[in-house]
Amino acid sequence: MLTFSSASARIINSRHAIAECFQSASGDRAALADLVIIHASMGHSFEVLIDEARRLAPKARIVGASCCGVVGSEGVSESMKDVAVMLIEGRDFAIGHVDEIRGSNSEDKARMLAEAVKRERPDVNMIYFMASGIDIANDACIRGIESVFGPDVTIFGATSSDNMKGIISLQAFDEGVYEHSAWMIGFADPSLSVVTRASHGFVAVGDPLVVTKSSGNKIMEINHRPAWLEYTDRLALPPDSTCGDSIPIGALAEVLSARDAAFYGNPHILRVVTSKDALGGIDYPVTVKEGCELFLTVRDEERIFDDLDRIVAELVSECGDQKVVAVFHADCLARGRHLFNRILKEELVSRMQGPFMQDGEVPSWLGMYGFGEFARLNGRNTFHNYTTAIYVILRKKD
Amino acid sequence: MTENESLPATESIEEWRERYEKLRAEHAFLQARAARFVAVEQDLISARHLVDLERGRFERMREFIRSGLRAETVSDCVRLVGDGIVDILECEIGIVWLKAPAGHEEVFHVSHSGQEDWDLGGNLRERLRQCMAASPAGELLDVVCRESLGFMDLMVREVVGDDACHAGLMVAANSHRAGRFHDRFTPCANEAFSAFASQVGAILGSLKKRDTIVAQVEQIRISEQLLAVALASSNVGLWDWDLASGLVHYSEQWKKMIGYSGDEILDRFDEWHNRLHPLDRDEAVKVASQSSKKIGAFYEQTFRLRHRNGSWRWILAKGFTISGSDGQPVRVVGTHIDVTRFKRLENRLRKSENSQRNAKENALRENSAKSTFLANVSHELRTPLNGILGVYEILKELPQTETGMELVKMGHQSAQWMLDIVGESLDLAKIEAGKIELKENTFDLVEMVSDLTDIKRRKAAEKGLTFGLHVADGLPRLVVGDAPKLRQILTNLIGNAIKFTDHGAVSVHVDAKGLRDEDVVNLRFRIRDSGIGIPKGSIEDIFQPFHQTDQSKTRRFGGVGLGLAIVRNLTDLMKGRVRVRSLGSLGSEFTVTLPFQIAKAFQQEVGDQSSKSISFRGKVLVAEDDEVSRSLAIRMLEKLGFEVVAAENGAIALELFEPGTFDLVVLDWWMPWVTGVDVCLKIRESERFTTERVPILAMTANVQSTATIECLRAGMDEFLGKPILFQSLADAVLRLVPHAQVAT
Repeated sequence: MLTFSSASARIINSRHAIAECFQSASGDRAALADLVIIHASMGHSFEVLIDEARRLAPKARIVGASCCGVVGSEGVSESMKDVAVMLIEGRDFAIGHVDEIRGSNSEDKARMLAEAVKRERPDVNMIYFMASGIDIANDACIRGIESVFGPDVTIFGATSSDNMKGIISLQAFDEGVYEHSAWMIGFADPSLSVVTRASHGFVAVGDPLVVTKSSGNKIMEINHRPAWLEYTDRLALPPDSTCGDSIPIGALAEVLSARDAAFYGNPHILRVVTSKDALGGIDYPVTVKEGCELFLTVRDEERIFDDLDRIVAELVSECGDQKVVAVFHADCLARGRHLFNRILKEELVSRMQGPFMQDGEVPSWLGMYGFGEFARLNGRNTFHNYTTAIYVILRKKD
Repeated sequence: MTENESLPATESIEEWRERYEKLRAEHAFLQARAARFVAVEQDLISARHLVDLERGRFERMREFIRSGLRAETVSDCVRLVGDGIVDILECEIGIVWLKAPAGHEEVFHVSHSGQEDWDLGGNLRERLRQCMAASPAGELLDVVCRESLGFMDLMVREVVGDDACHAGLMVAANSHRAGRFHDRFTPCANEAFSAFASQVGAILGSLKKRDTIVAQVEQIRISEQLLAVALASSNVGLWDWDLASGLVHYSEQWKKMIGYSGDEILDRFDEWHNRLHPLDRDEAVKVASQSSKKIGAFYEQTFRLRHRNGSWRWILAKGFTISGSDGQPVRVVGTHIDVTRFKRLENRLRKSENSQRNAKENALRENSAKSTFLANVSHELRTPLNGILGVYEILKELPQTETGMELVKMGHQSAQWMLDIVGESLDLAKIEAGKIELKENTFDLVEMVSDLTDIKRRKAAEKGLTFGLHVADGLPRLVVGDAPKLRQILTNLIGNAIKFTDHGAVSVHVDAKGLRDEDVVNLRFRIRDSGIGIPKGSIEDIFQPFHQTDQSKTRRFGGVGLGLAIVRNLTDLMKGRVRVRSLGSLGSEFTVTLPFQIAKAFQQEVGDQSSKSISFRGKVLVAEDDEVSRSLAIRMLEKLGFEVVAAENGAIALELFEPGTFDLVVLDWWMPWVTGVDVCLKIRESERFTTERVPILAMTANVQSTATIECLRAGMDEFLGKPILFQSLADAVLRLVPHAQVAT
């Protein structure tokens, strides 16, 4: 049976940060952890983080990812020196890793990863998936995983990010640190289940940007013009802008089916552009077909809060009387300091954590600000952008 | 409305198209405006983010400053500051470099993630030092250091201590490797860093002050503890008088001193006032009142306070007046010490002192009488004896029959013996009266002992005894001490040895018992004889005055039994020791050990020409009231070659004297009406306005030092004690008128 404990901190020295987090999470029991998950900002040294984690939890498997900020039971922080950890005791899991996963091979790599995990633990009942947030076809990843585990195994997770520079993002797996890899945790504790929800609260506006030329997750032309050029024109940005300029205001919306829209609470699902190429093409986070209509969006602050409240209420309802043993959380980095001021951000986090408190305590909570989020939408594993995605791990009642 | 929809009846297709295009254009315009608004909104959000960032930065700065102020040590504070630089500015590296303050080492700390390769080649401190030495100040410094040290972005700020002096540097930097993820330092970051640096200087100053304060507080605490212990273990009561309110706080010890505690004595002036002894009250109150007006001075007084049990306790009170901020007296604080016991001791001591004073006065009176007796006896006995000896000396020079020579010899010996007895008696009296003073002069030890033993050898030879002198090698030849006293000791011991030995030998051994220190040697004189020995039970008694081992021997060996008493007393006076060992029928051995200082130089005394004959030419005036002594002096001086003019008394001497007439004047100290001192004074007065100064030699039977001093003060140049020996006179004359000597 798996047990979870978490902590987060903002500390300059990576070694001290891990030590502080381990101590806060489970004190002396940290040495007994079997699995350590680390989320950290780009100001930390991942090599040092892993080294110290190895020293403090010698028998644990270690996975990690870079992000733009962290959310823990202590609250939210978006700085260059944030660290958050989840320590898991128990052996009911398997982990796997693949390197060099990109847009062109996302499905194959994901399948290989899933097969490796399944070989180790065929009884995996939920998957925590982390992949590089740059140049990846996340829907293809889902297909690859589902081809092994089937569509009913819930995939939750995120894509790693930097601090919205779009330069690189890092993934850690045991002693290695990678830039274009993916890792997976297959949980196999039969007493545990997961419920997931995501919401964005943005509104699509204006004429669509029609994908007129694409290949996989790459869009070469929009409205018969170089994709980046058309995109930045519509955003009223100069063509030499960076993704850092476009991400906060350039969420692209795809139309959902009516049923999906009803479940989602929004007629659109959002996508982020994380990189561009020299020819003016852009990397799309999922496979996109020519003719697909993409809409620009505007944020609706009221709707953002309302949608958050709605999904939290739905999650709480689904939890029923089961015990919340942990919460994983992925938030789009564009929803952090680039969207809200600190007070509103803290308000958001308190509204998502509050309803899950037990005996006045927030459950073990590991959240990160990344490029994208994996959560189920109307019963299907789906990749999202610009959302708050919450994954609640429940322990069934005896 | 699309093209396929129905047209309004009143609108033509062309009109509709036109309106449609217009609407499309407006839509496109609005869409563009909407996009622009979104961009502007995002700019506002970004601006708000920057405000948040700055506010967050200064909040973090405040937290780090607070933590820094609570830091235990400067090193802890520096670590916090380094972390603060990285956290506040969200940069890669924060460096704090404090120069070595007095008594402390230089502190150099780098805060970073822990990545090993950030140092970009290592030895960052030295590279920074070189860069600072070669760089200008201000913004250029940032640029120069950044390029010199190989950072992508860098800011340097000076840390200024609270004494406005340079205390160190702070550096925020991003390397090229990590710099791509860090924003470049903005002017806002610049300002924040400057603000932080200024606060760090203040923090370090506060830490220094805090350390000083903590140390001082600790010292105060320790002092207070010590004071508390001292007060608790002593009998010191404290009082604190508030002049404004009139209240007086008394410590528990104060109360306990007079048998009270706690609330039994309240904080009132009356508590002290009403317990004062009636005889002390007015004065005590007056002194306290007057002293309360004098700021900054201690006062002290004693008085009696009534104890609870009715007794009176003597209290020594001390007070000190303290002023307020306006310079006026506000408080008097002080102590009470119970000195009752000391007062009692003081009274007893006073009584004892009075008794001692009376006893001393009596002793002084007795001593004075004794001194007068000594002076008188000395003069009355020595003067005629001097005459007798002088006559016999003259007779020895005159042609005699064998019988006559024998008689002269016997008479001389008798007179000498009598003089010796008188001398010994007077010596003992002087010693017991404390009249003997040690005179320290440099003398030739070996020569003195040799001369003495030569004399004694003859006496021993007369009795058929073998006499030996053994002086150890390596003895210091010249020593400083009282030669006459030593001679007297040895004379007495050797004399006794010869006296009490009929057969065999007498030997004298001189060696050193060891150096007391570098300059002082313990000389040991052992006199051994093969005489009658000393009965065991009499060993200590023989040093008592007038003691004879066997009274029947008194007639046989002569003497009155004072010699050894004098030896013991003189030895004690010279801080030495005398011991005796009886060898039974084989004789006795006396050992005297005396400390002498080793002379650094020896001044040969002028006139040491005992073995040489000397002659003078000149005119001498002699004043001596005693006919025999006068005749003797005349003969001795004539024998020396002088023309002698004699006066019977001081008055005649003054009549005969004229400045420039005489080469030497010899005066008896004691003469009737006009004493030798009077004559000397007159002669010196007559010479006052001339260049003449005739040497004046005093002769007297009064050998006390007071007489010597009086003569010398009067202007006399030399002093000879009677009986005058020819050689002594010759030596003194040679010292006084060396120019009158005639070559022989």
